[in-house]
Amino acid sequence: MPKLKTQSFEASMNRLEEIVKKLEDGSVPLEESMKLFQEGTQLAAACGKLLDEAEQQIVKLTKGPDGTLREVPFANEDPE
Amino acid sequence: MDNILTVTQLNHLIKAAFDNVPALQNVCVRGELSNYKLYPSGHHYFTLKDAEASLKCVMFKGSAYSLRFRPQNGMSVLAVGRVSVYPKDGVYQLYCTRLIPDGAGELQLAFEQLKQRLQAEGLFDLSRKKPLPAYPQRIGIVTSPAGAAIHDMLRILGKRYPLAKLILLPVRVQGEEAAGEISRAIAYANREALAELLIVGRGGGSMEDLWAFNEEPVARAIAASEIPVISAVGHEPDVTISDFVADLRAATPSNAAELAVPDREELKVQLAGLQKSMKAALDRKLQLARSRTEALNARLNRQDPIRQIQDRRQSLDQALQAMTAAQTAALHARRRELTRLAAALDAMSPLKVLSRGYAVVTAPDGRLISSAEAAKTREILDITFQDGTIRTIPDHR
Repeated sequence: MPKLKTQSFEASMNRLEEIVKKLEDGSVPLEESMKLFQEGTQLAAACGKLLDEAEQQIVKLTKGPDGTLREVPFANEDPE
Repeated sequence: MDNILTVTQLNHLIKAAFDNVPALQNVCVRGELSNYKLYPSGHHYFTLKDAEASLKCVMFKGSAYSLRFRPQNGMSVLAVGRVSVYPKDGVYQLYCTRLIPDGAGELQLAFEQLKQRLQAEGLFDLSRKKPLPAYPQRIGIVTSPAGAAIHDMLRILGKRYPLAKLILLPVRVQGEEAAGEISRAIAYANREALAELLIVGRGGGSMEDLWAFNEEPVARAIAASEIPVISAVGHEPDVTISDFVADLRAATPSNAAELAVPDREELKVQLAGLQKSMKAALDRKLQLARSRTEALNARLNRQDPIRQIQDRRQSLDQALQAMTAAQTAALHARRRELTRLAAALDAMSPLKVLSRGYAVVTAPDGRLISSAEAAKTREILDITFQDGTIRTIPDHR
């Protein structure tokens, strides 16, 4: 079972591409192919879900009172 | 003579005389640079000359600081400043506050010079360009927090790829402080490993407005950045030094946002394609396994011992049947032969002949008498009819 919470979108996409390549290669035994297919299907679904549901996080680096930089939420307001 | 002056007094007198001429307080002189020297103090000393005369000039550190190009000997320039006397040496000189290249614009010249210098250093080499991450998780944006540029970038990044965290490093993008702030922000992002990708830029403006992106500190900061940098300055035709040094040049900030991330909709199409390929590959695999199983099953069936016994029993049956048939046929043939022989025998039977009225003559010893000649020698003849035999004595008279 792929753990998408700890796995980046990039890693998932790369793994998915690797799975497709392996399956298309045809040298993988049937039983493993079935497992790969299952994993791939789950990865694809999870990636799709991420794309649909992701909410962009936007922050701005601001100098705090002590002079160190910290992140504060940035509201994307209309220009001027 | 009462009126004896010290050298110092005289020189100051002359200096005062110069300083009282308004025309000398703000002059602009055209000439060729020669003897150009930059002192460790930061002051610049040079001579302006034309075909017939020369003029000593000094440009103090404070004024030289705003020089955007590198003055070189032989260069034709316009020098702006005031003419005064340096009492210590007793010479008059031009106190230059601005030096402008004659002909090409100052900014243009500075641009070309820095471009040439950095190019010679190899900072624009394609081999230096770093590939951009395919799916950046964090994107640092070095630009002004106000204005259309950041707004456009955030809008496009949000639409295309909301998976990335966007970190705005607010800087001034024009004016004296801009270059320092921009280069420090780039360095900071690298030091803190803040992002996998940096977008550095601003919206459109005049060449003056965009100037920070033509300054050496910014170019150096971009070149030194471990994080790949997309340069996004002004509009399509605006080309800055930053564009040459960056790993990728975007025509505009919006364009940078498009180049920075993959598009969500395209990714979804790609995902669907991958799923389809995956399914097709598995189907092929299953189909292959199925036909292989079938082929193996057929071969196995052929090797089934029960089936072999059945097969042999069948051949045995067939052999037995053939044998029986052959026997029967042989029997029938014999029987037919017997019948035929019996009939032939019957036809040849003497009894049959006798029944038609013939008789057989034999001697008492049983020898057949088949001619009159043979009968003449016999005393006794037996005549056999169909129903019995009589003994006769022939009359030989």
